[in-house]
Amino acid sequence: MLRPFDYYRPADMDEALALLGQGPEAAVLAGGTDLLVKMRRDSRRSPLVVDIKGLEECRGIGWENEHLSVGALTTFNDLLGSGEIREHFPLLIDAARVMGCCEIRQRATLGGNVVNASPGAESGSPLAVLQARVIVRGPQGSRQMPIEDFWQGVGKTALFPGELLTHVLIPRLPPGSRSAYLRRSRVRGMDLASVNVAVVVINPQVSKNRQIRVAMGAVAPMPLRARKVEAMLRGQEITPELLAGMREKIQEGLTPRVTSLRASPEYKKEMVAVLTEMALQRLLKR
Amino acid sequence: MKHLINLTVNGQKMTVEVESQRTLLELLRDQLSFTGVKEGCGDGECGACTVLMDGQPVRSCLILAVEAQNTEILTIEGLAAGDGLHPLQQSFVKEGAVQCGFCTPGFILAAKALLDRHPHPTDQQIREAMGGHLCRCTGYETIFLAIKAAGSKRR
Ligand SMILES: Cc1cc2nc3c(=O)[nH]c(=O)nc-3n(C[C@H](O)[C@H](O)[C@H](O)COP(=O)(O)OP(=O)(O)OC[C@H]3O[C@@H](n4cnc5c(N)ncnc54)[C@H](O)[C@@H]3O)c2cc1C
Ligand code: FES
Ligand code: FES
Repeated sequence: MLRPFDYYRPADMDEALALLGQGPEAAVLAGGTDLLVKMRRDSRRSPLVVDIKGLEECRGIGWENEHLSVGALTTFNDLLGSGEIREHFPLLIDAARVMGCCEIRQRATLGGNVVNASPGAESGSPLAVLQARVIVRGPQGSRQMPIEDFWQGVGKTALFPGELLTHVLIPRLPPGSRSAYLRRSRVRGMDLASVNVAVVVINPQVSKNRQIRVAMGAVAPMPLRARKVEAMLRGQEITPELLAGMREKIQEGLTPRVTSLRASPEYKKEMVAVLTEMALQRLLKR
Repeated sequence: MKHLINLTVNGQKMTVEVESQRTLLELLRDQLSFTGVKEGCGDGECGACTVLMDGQPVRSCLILAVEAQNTEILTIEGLAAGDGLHPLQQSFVKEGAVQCGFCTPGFILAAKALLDRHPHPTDQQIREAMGGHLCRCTGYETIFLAIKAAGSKRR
């Protein structure tokens, strides 16, 4: 049973911000698949729950100049059904397909996944590798920032009390770019990722113009770009020696926490290297 | 805080009073006595509380009752028309896919949503739809076969 609270479903942004302004303990409810679990376990208490599903401005997927704007209320099933996502950012489809199960994907939102800021969250490494930005709305108006600045630790974000995440902006990739998301989990059924990687390859066919981006999840408090590996692979012919070097470099400085329930640090480090190589092999095939 | 909400359960329109903190599971099971909706884990993990909301499977333990305002809910009680069994229920009986039965309503409703979307699902699509449902008795194979048989019968 949940502790008593008041519930409101504001019809527009002004009403939502006014409600959230009533106190720092107000809880935003989107799909509820994280929030209700936490409230039930009593790890989160709130006298006021503000259901934002009536905010039409936080819905929809569409191009705005060179960014695909994805509303915070977009569910994982919406992502799977979006032609724009499928065509331009297939790694998000890879991620949405392994996220939870049908019933969870039906309710769980992208905004909730980003704000929940879990280290291995399904959207984490894909949005990091896509260099997404987030739009945040509060009583003072809107602000924007790179998603890597938005995440500040396990379960911690740059949101101030009273603020909402309204959109995720994903920059268009150059034509011909490819992307993939791979993960390992303990079981083949429903489970969170033990470790995951997201890879984008720009100009896959011509090695001297090729750029490779890599991000990893569940190996650090936040999704992490492997920038040293990216520099090492940039514009290079991919040889077995280079890949061997990559496998070593990507593990450098990684210290996954020992207390993880899902996998040992050694396994995570090894698998980050293996998954990155698998993704590259898949994306660089002619 | 109390709310008066309108919803349709198993084809019947109703107005009910609920407290903010009540889950849809509690509304259906305790207040409206649709005891075919089971509480297993209460955490979204097991699938026993699955119902269809506007035709889509959802976990009623992770939804507040007030969130069901203006929605159509289907529980296992509303699946069969009249006194007979729904083809999926018949198929579960025939394949021996029911032992203790605790997981059965969730599996059948998830399967119904699957067959509504894909009348002839692939094996992969069936496994996908079963993915978030736990059964401690059957070992899953008979459930898979029951859904598959119900899917091929519709041809
Ligand atoms: C059974 C189960 C399986 C799961 N499997 C996975 C999995 O495989 N991969 C994975 O990544 N996650 C998984 N999750 C976790 C969860 O489903 C996701 O993180 C989901 O995306 C959360 O979205 P939501 O809309 O349900 O968030 P909510 O629970 O509504 O909210 C999550 C948090 O974000 C805040 N919030 C939500 N939206 C906003 C907004 N727009 N602005 C400001 N704050 C906001 C809420 O206040 C809350 O703190 C699983 C959860 C369950 C119960
Ligand atoms: S009781 Fe809802 S998923 Fe287990
Ligand atoms: S029949 Fe007993 S849990 Fe499935």
